[in-house]
Amino acid sequence: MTPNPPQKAIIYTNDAPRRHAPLATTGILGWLRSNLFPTWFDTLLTIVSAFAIIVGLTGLIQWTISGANWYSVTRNLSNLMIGSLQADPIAVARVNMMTLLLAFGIGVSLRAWSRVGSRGWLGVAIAALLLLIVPIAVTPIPLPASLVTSGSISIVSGSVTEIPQNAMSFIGAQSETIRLRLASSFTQTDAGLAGVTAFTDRAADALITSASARLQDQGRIEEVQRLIESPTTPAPDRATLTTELDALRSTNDLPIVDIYALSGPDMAVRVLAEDGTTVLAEAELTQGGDEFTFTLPESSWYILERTVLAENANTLLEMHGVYPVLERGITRTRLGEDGNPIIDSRSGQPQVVSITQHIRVTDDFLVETAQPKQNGVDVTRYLFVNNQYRGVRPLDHFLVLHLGPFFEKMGRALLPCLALVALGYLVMHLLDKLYPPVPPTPKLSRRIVFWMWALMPIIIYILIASTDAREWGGLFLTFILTAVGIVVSFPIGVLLALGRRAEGLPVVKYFCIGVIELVRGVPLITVLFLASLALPLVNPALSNVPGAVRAMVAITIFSAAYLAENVRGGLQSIPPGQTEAAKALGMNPPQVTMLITLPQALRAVIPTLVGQCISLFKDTSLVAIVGLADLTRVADTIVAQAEYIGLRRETYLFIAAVYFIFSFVMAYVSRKIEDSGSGVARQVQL
Amino acid sequence: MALLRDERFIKIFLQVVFVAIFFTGVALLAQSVSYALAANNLSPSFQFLGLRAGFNIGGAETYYSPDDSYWRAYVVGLENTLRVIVVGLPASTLLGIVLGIMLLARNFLIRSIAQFVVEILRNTPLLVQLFAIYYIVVLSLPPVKDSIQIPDMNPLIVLNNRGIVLAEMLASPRFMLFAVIAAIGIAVAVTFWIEAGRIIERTGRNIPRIRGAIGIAVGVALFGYILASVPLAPSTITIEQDGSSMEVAVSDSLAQNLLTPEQRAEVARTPLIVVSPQKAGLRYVNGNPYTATYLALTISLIVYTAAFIAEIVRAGIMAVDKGQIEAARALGLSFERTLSLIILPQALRVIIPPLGNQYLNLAKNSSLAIAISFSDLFQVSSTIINQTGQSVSMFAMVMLTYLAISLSIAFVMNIVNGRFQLISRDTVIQLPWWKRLGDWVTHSVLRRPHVEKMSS
Repeated sequence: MTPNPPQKAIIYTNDAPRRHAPLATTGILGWLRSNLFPTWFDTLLTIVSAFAIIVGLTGLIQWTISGANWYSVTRNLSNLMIGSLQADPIAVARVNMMTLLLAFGIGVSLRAWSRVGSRGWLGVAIAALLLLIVPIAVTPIPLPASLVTSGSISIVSGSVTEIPQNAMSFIGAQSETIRLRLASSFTQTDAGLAGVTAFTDRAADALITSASARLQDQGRIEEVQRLIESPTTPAPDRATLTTELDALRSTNDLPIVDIYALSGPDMAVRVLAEDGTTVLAEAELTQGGDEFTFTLPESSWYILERTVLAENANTLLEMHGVYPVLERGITRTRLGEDGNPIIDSRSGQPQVVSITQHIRVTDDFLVETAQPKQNGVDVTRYLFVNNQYRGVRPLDHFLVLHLGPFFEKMGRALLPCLALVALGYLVMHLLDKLYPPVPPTPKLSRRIVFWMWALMPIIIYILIASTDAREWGGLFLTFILTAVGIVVSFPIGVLLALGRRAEGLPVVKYFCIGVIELVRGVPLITVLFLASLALPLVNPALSNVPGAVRAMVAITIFSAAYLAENVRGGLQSIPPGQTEAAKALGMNPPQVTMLITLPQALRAVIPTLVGQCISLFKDTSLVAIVGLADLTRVADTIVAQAEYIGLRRETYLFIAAVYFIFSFVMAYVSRKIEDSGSGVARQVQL
Repeated sequence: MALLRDERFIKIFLQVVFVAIFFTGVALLAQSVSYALAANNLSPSFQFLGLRAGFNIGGAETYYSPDDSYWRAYVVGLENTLRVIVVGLPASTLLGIVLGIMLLARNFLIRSIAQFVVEILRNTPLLVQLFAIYYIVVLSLPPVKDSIQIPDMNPLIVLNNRGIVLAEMLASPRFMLFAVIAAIGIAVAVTFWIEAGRIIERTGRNIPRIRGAIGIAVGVALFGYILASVPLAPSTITIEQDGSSMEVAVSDSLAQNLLTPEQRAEVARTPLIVVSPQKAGLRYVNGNPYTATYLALTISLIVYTAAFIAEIVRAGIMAVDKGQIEAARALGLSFERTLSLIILPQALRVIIPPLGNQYLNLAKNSSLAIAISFSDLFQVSSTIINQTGQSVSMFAMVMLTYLAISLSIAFVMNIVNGRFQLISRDTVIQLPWWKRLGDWVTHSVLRRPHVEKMSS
C-alpha cells in the first residue's frame, strides 16, 4: 500500500490584527459597567445608594469634628482600658508588662505560623508614624480661649438665671503664661456672641444661648414681615402673623449685648496666690485695649478676682492659659518616712488617705492640694462641669483638643506594643535562620511558640494574681474573662463531648447530654446571675469570692457546653475506619481517643472554635448587668457622671469600635486559618 | 483478676463510680444550700408564689396590678417575652433574607453597604447595640405632646419617647360572616394548591400555583368583605349619658364624637374598623400601646439576628453548586423557576440548621431586657428574687421555662429540617413509635430474632 502523500499544512500568515478588548469591558470602565451600571435598575440603585453613602459619611465626619464632645472618651481612656486599677501604679505596671508580653508573643507567633508581607509592615509603619507625628504636629495649634463673665446683672435665658461669678480659682504650672483680655471682638454684636467657640462658663453659656435665640427671632421677624407684605397671604393668616410680629418685636427690642452692657465697661483683675491674700499681680483692662500677661511663679492654685468698673454692666473676659479642671478622688496608701506603708495598729491594713486630684482638661497637668479659701470660704473652682466647650468646633480646635491628646495617649500604649511585635518577629526570624528546620521534626520556632503559649497562662497568673480582683475593669477585665473562659472551658468541653459520644456508658452519656442541653437552653445572663447569687449559698465561705471570679465560673460553664457541641461535630466528622483501624492495632479506648480521634477532631473544628472565641468575647459584655466593671459598664458609669452627661453617643461609639476591631481581627485570623486548610469540611460560618 | 479485664465489668464499674460521685456531690450541694437558706430563714418552696407581688409592671396596667400574686407577675413576664419572640422571629427572618440577598447583589455599592452593616452588627456585642438603640434612638424621640404621627390625621402609628402606639382593629357583629367566607376561601385555596401540585408533578403542566392560590384566597375574602358590608347598619344606638340610657341617631353621635370605639364597632357597616390612637391629655387612648423598652428590645434583637441570618442565607445560596445554575440556564429555565426549583431547595437544606440556632439565640437574647428594665420573664423573676429571697425556686422556674421555650423552637426547627434534608441510601426511615413497639417487645422481651421490615 502506498502511504498517503503528506498533506499540505495550510498556514494563515495574515491573521486579522489582534485588537484590544472593547474599552468598556476592561479595566476600570469595565468594572464600573459590570458592577455599578449593568442595568437601568442597577443604575438607579447606584445613584440612590451613592447619595445615601455621601450624605451619611459627611454627616458622620461633620459630627465627629464639630458636634461631638469627645472628652468622655479621651479623659477616661485608662478607666476604659483597665477600670479602677488605674489608681494603683503597681497594678498598672503589672498590666503593662502583661500587655507587652502578649505583644511579644503575638510577634513570635506571627513569624512562626505565617509571614507578614511587605504590605503588613507598611501598615504597621504607617500606624506607628501616625501615632508619633500627629501629636507633635498639633502642638503649634493654639488652644481655644476660656470665657468668663463678671458683673452685676444676672443673665436670664429661658427658664435659667445665671449669676456671674467674680472670683474663681484655677491651677497653673510653673512658668506658664496667662493672657487676659476683654472679649471685645465677641461683644459688639449678637452674631459675634452666637459664633463663640471656646470654653464658656454657665453665665456666658446663657448669654450665647440668648444671643442665638435672638438671632433666630430676628430671622423669623423678617420672614413674618415678608409674609405680611406678600399679596398671596390670606387675610386671617395676616392677622395672626401681625400678632406674632408684635410679640416677637416686644421681646427682642434690644440686642443681648446691649441688655447686659457687655461692650461698655472696663475691668480690674487681680491674681492672688493660693493663700487667698497675697496679690501677685493686678491690672486694669480696657475694651479693645492691650492684653495683660502674667507668668505663673509655681505650679499650684491661683485666684483670679475680677471687678467691673461700671454699674449695671457685665463683661466677658477672654483668658488664654487658664483651662477648666476635672476633679478625681483617689485613695493612696500613706507612706512613712522610710518609704514603707504605715500599718494601722487596729486593723492591720495599710493606712490609706483620700486625695482629690484636680486635672486640667487640655493637658494632664494636675495638682493635689486643696482648693484655696478666702476668709475661710472656698473660692469657686474653674471646673469642667460648669465650663464646657461651646460652639460649632472648627477643625483646628478638634485637632488640638481631642485628636492630638487621643493619639498621644494611644501612642504611649500602642507604640511599645508595636515595637515588641516587631521585635518578636525579628527574634523568631533570626532563630529560624540560625537553626534551620530538619524535617520531619517540627520547626524549632513552632515548638518554642507552642511552649510559650502553654506557659503564658501561668506567667500571666503570676503577674496578675496579686492585684485586687475587685478593681479589675475595662478592656482588661473583658480580656481576662474571655481568656480564662476559653482556656478553662476547653478541657471541660472536650470531656463533655467525649462523654456524650460514649456509647458504652449510658449513664455518662445521658448525664453529658443533660448538662449540655440544659446549659445551652438557658441564656447566659441566667447562668451569670446564678453564679453571682448562688455561690454564697453553696458554701458560705465563698461569699468573699470577688465578682470577677464568679463571672469566670459562669462563663466557663456556658462556654464549655457550646464547645462540647462544636467538638462533637468534629468527632462526628471522623470516618469510623480510623477508630476501627486503631482498635485493630490493639489500642485501648483512651489511647484511641487521645492519639487518633481527638487530634483529628480538634484540627477539624479550629475555625468553629475561633468563632466561639469571638462570641465569648462579645458575650462578656453581659457581665455589665451583674455589676462587673467591664468595658460596657465602665462606659455606662462614665456617662452617668456630671461632666459627661448626655455623651452616650460618643462613648458607645468608642466601645463599639473597640469591640469591632478586636472581633474583626479575630474573624480575619479565623478566615486565614480556614483558608490554609485546617478545616475539614466547608462549614457554614455563623 | 480476670474481672478487671472484662470490658463489661469495667463499664458497669465506671458508671457506678460516676453515679456515686454524682449523687454524693448533689447531696452535699443540696445540704449546704438548704443550710444556707435556713440560716436566712428561707425554706425553698413554691408557696411564696401566691403572695401579693407589690411591684408594678410597666405597660401592663390594664391587666396587672401590684395586688396580683407573684405567679401572675411571672405569667405577665412570660407573656412579654413571648411577645418579643413572636414579633422578633418573622421580622428578623425577613430582614435577614433581604440583607442576605443584598450581600449577593451584583451592584458593588449595594453589596458594600450590606457588608458594612452586617459586619458592624455581627462584631459588636448585642448589649452595646441595645443600649445604643434604647438611649440614643428611642429616648431621643419627641415627648408625648409632640409625637410623630404616621399619617398625620387619624394616625396608624404614633411614636414618642414613651413608646409606640399602633392603631387597633375592632370587629363588628358582621365579622363572623366575613370570617366564615374567608375561611372557606382559604380552604379552597389550600385544596387548589395541593391539587395543582399533584397535576404539575404528574403532567408537568405549568399551572401558576402561587398566583392561583393567592388569587382565590384574596378574591373570596374580598367577596366576603363586600357581602358582609351590604346589610344596613343600625340607625340608632343606645348610649349612656348622665347615668341614664337614651337612643340617639348614629350619624349625630358620630358627629358629636359620643361613641366609644366598641360602640362604633357595633354600628359599623364594615366587618372591621380601624381605631386610631387619640391624644387624651398626656396619653394616647384607643390604640395598642407598646412601651419604649419593648420597642428598643425588639428592634435591636431583630436587627442583630437579621445580620447573622443574612450571613447564613448568603452561605446557603453560595453553597449551591454553580453548575446547577448553569444547567438550569442550559435547560432554558427562567430566573423564577431556577430560584424556586433549583436554588432554593438546595440552599434551604444548608440554611435551616443554623437558622434554627439563630432562632434559639433570639429567644435567649430576649433576656437582655433586664438591662433596660423591660419586664420580661427574667427581669420579673429577678425582682421576685430580690423581694422574697427565694433564689433557688425562682432560678429553677426560670431555667425550666427558658429550656421549655428553647426545646419547643428546636423541636419545630427539627421537623422543618427533616422535611428539607436529602433522602439518600444512608437515611434511616424510622417508623413511628407505636409501630415500633411491637418489634421492641418481640426483640427484647420475647427474645425472638429481630427482622427488619420495610414499610411505606
